[in-house]
Amino acid sequence: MWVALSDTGGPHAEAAEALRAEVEQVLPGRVDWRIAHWSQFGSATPEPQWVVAVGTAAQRGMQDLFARDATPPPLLAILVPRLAFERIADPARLRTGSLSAVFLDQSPARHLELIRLALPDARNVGILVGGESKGHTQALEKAAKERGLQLVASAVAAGGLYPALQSLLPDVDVLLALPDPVVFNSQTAANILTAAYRRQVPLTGFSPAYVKAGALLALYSTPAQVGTRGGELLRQAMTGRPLLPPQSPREFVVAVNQNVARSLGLALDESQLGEQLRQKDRP
Amino acid sequence: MAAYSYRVVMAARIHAMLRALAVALAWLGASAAAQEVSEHDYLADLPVVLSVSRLAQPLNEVPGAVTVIDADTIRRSGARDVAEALRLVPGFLFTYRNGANPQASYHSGMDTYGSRMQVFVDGRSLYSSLLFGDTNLGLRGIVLEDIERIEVLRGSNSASYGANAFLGVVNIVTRNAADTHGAMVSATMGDRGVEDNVARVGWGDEKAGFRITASRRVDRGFERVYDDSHVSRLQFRADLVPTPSDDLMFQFGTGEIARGDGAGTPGNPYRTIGQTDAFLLLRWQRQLAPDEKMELRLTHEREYFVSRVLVAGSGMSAVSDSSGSAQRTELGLQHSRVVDHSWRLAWGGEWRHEAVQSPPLYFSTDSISLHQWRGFGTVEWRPHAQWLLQASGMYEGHSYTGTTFSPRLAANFHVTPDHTLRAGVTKSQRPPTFYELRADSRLFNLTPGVLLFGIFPVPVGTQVPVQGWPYLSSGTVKAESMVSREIGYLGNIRQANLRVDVRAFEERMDDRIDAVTRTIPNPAYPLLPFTSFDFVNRPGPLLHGFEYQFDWRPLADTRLVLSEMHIRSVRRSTSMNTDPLEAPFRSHSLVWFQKLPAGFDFSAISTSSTPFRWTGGSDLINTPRRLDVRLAKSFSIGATRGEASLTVQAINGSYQVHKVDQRFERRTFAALRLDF
Repeated sequence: MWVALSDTGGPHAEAAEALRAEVEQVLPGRVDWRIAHWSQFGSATPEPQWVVAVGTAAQRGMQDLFARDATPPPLLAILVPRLAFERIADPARLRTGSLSAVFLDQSPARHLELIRLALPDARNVGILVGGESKGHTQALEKAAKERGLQLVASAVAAGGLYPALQSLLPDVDVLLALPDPVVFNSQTAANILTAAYRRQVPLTGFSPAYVKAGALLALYSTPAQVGTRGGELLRQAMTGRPLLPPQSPREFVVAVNQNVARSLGLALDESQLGEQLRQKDRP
Repeated sequence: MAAYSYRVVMAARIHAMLRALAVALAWLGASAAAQEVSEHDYLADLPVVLSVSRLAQPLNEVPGAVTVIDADTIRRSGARDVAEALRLVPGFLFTYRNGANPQASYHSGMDTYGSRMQVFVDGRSLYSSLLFGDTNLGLRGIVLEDIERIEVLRGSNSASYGANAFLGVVNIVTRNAADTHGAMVSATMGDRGVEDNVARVGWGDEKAGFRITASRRVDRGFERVYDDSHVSRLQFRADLVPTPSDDLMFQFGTGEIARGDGAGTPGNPYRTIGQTDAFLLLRWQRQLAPDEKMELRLTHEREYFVSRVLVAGSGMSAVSDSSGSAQRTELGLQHSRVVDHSWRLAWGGEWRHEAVQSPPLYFSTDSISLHQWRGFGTVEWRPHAQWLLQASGMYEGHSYTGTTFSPRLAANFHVTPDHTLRAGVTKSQRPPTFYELRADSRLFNLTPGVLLFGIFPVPVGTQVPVQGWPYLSSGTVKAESMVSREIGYLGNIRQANLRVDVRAFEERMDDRIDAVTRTIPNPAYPLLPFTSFDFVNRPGPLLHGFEYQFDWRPLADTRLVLSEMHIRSVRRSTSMNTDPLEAPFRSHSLVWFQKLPAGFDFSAISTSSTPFRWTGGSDLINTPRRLDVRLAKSFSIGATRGEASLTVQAINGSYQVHKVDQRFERRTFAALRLDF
């Protein structure tokens, strides 16, 4: 089993470790692991039975490595954003089940369900849409409609974040941040958070950093949770079945910035919200 | 040693923040080129933006009763003036001395010019001390469209806000220039010559925002009263964010107010009072650490008054003049720190210099000036999740009246997170104004050949006998003080969408500044001494009662706000002229905001009070009920948003205002606002 990392430390290693632990728990000692930075896997021989890519760079590296292989080993990408995965994934391999992924993204349904649980009065959910986040709009709109929420999208033109934000804030009860480096990055996040706060519009984010920075809520999966789900997918595939389709991690975390909640006059309990959301998740 | 290690920790913290920033910027530079989403978007760190010291304290943790009026409420109330919007705050009384002088004050009608209330606009005090102390006039100049929200502290709090935070503190927060990009125009027209126009343009980017607002408000006031008013204003605001931890704000404003006054009698002829003013405000806020903030503020203001009229009586005429100019400079520094959630500290200092020049008011061509300085500190302690204790104190020096200390103790007890009980006791001050300290107004005869009582010749240019020295201050007056005690309850009943705010109070006023007549020898006519007003301290009233507000949203589109005050003004000494009817026994307001389909919006505001009399020449006035209604329709044409509205004030008919022969007639006006 090859585990190719985009980065040898931090979250990538953490996800890889969780994946290994998950597999080892069921098949102790049966797998020969080779975990390294993706560039270390110089040649495709001896061909591994399974390849796991942790991160987008590793996914691209592993796909390229086996590009000329007629029967490449199954590839599981984990810790990748859905949009990034879909951009480089080979559709033919996706169809045959020899390529799958565990995303960093949470499903639109989960995001909107959290908003409904935490802010029952909120009706209009605002999103700032740049080139990247456009890909999320349709699914979000559908999920919003199913929950009686109205999705209000404001398009961010080049350099026009501020006008987009200004036209959006008066009309929305909550702002849902979407991963898009043009819209939300470490510089713009400060402006968006302060402008939204001045208008008393809470922001819900997709990473723990958002809650720390001043978002009211964040919904995300930790690298370990992503890795664990990856391990589960692998275990299943090791029994001879094709890989399950690409998906979001099963486990997730709801984080609340209590200082912001108090300041907005809200009483929120993150463990309770997490539990309620988990129950909604179950079919 | 402690101080040293604190500084080292701070330096290390700042250093760590700068390093984190540098890393973030470097990373940004590398990734911005890609502009494609990657796992870094999910995994990267962000700087702390809304740190504890940047967040506003929720109302149930404020050690005092606070009512917030937001921009939406102001717009939907149909108010054309800040004072009109203050009607919605429980405990506030509202009237018009005449159509050109709307006035609002907390609890008692003893406060004709708003001199016992402190008003801040973005931290700049509007208090003018040229005559008797005035905040009402300053409020007239505020452009409603630029207001983000008004936070009204009901009660007194000199311990935090300094002198004059005596009966109510009004904090007006104008919109950040970053939030008003684009253009806005609005026009209002209606009965009694109502003609208001606002034009605003804002521009900038995420690092710097700018805005210019021009506004004009005109009306003819009441019927049969000369009280036309013409208020024009030009405001500039810049908000700069040079680094993520620095906020710089710069404001410049200038304006002109012309008000009609007078009763059309020889002793009180019609006249137009003119005022022009200009100010500069500079504020620098710096996050020293996520839990630590510093603020530096500098303001400079100038005002010019022109009020000159020929008065006649006893066969003579004289010029009555209260023109003059004033300037104020204030420098303030504040540092606040949140220590591990159970302690919050703030301390700071301020220095203020005021100077006025008015030969007719002070009988001196010199400019007279005073200095005020103050140091304050606040400690907030949370010994337990349910308890919040606050102690604060302000030590102030005044070049005329010496030093005073204003302490305040308050406690909040959270029965549950949504139900809070409050108690507090505080002492506040209002120092006398220049006029109360140094008044010297004289009238000189302008009519040749007058014989007083057919006997005494009064040459032109000499002081008019008897009435010729209207005001002469002995300069012995000292600051007013007030001890107030309060208990309160703040509840948020989430199941019913109901917020409840109750405050019971007892406000004991001492050394109330009052004008009393005294006799001054007249060397020219020893038999006809002057009767002149001087300012003295007398026991003030004891105000006690309670006020409450129910803010209920029974449906998502419906909001009902009921506010009421019950108060008694008790005379504490028979030797004083305190009028028990200086405050109404009961005042009341009911607000109904209703969003309707198709962008329509309806609101109705009913206010009433039992009979009472404002000081300064008001008659006993009964305001059984005034009902204002407004219907608005918002729309958008492309990227342009607009709102058209029709407001009818006093739709239920005219009512007496201030004087029995002065009536506020039903007034209808239409407004159109466009945001580009």
